[in-house]
Amino acid sequence: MAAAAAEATIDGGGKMIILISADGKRFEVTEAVASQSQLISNMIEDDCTENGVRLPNVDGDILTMVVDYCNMHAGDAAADGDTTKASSTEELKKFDAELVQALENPVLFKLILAANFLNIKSLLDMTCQRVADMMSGKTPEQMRETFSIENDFTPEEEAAIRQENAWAFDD
Amino acid sequence: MESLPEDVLLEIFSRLPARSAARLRAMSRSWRAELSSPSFVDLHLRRANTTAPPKLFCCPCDDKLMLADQWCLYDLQLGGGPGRELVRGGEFGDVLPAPLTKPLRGLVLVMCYGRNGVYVCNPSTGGEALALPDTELPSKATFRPSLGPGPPYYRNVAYGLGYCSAAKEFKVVRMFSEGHYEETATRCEVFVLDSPADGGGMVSFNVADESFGSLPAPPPLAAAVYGVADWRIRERMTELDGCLCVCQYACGSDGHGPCRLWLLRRHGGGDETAARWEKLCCIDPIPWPSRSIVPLCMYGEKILMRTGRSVVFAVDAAACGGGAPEILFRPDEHEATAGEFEDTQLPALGLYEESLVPVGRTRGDRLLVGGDQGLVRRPQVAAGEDGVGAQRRVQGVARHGHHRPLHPLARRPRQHGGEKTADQVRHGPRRRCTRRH
Repeated sequence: MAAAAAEATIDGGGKMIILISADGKRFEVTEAVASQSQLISNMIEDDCTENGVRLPNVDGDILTMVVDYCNMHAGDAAADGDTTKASSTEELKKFDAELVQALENPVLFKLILAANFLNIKSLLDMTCQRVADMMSGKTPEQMRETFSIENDFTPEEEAAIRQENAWAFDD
Repeated sequence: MESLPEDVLLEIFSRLPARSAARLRAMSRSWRAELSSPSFVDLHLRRANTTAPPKLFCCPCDDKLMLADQWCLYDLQLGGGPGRELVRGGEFGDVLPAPLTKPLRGLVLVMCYGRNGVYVCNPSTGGEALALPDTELPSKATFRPSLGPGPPYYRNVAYGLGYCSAAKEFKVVRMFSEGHYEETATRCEVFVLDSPADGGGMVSFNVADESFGSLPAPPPLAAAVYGVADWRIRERMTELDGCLCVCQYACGSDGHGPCRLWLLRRHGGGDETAARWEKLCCIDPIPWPSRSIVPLCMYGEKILMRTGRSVVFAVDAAACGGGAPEILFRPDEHEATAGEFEDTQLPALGLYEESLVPVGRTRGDRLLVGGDQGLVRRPQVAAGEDGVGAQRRVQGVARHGHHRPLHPLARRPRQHGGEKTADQVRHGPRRRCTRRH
């Protein structure tokens, strides 16, 4: 992936944008693909993507997933554009499911942080939903551990709050 | 492991089923506050219900119920997936709840057949249920000839559940028509559901646009403070000095306590939020024990009051009720009315004005409704030119039943807070499902 390609166009589409990960990996994507990130979309509007977009808090392997996701979903973002490029709904569903299904929590969390930082709403929705699905039915202890939350209740307070929300605990 | 920032955690938690999200209130103090806040409840409503397909709740068939000995509701997804048990038995007793409405912010109006009771319930929080006022004596239920004369019933009863986002209030509306006793008017009752956190308060009624609002209640007078357990606190509402007035009075079988008068004074531009209760005076003790002490009006610097024996006396407002009350009128000593006067809740004594106004004129917005029934247990109204205030039960179900004949020629007086409804409100406290295992 050469920087010289930055101004090149492919598929008769728009300008190319270079994304640079924290560990220096470079990704070349079309404007349409990159614009799914509200952050980059704003930068494109402000015309400050000339020298590539540095993403100091996104690792290369995470950015690979993000770029894959955006390439796949470029079609539904520009629905009235080139329909041959747009993936079918079925394919997209399958792709999305496979993307998050295999991920362990640490990687999934990093992907969530990237989606949150880049402000890609559909990816944030999907990844948060995935974590929520996995968390459903867990105990407060397990959740504290997963999300590094400190328990600052006294035993009496904790018993009282469990009593208050008893319906949520009795299964 | 990398920890996620709070806004991202909220994105995750708001997508959890209600039961899991509520459980997380036990994680830490700050999360308890966050996950109980109205803003999280709203976010959760939006996020947790976005995934298609729609969710259903359903009760298993009779055979299964026989085995289980209790009914239960399952949360089911179209297109498969195991059902999750939502509610088992509980507050509705042995009667199956059938939904009357679609969920509104998660709340569903359900009817329990066989019992004809109607409840507001939240199936996702363990079947938390709130009985509508006439659940125990469903007088406005459908036609049931087997019950004989019994309470009045209506052939047509329609229910609706609504939410006012401006006031953040749920309202249950009930319309009924074709009554048993040849009643032709269509009647409508509106029950405003208290927010559980919001405690006691008062309902106001705007005479001009006939809309309901709410007002804060004055600080309660606790009988226990005076060390007499069987004292009952009586509260009366009226208009005094152009303000809404609440008169609190503690009395019992063997004594009586102080009498406090509160005025709701408006500050600034007449905005309801700027209204504050101010103690006008505290009369202690009342020299003439009575079951019923009510302020009548201002008389210069004095406040005129009456007792249940129709005795009229004045206290000095400027001295905050201090100084000896002065008796101004005693019907038992007056030539025209002399005789024995019993101490009663509603003595035949009131203020009077010279007037040529014919009573037939019910149009216009100077309609005054007066009353001084006990207001802790029953809705009541107080006089006012621009509004009528009615007390709502503390933590109650309905703050009022608003009866209004819709027939244009009906010459029935406008009622506010039907007594039947009110009495039943008293017996229908906010309740939760209790579970049996």
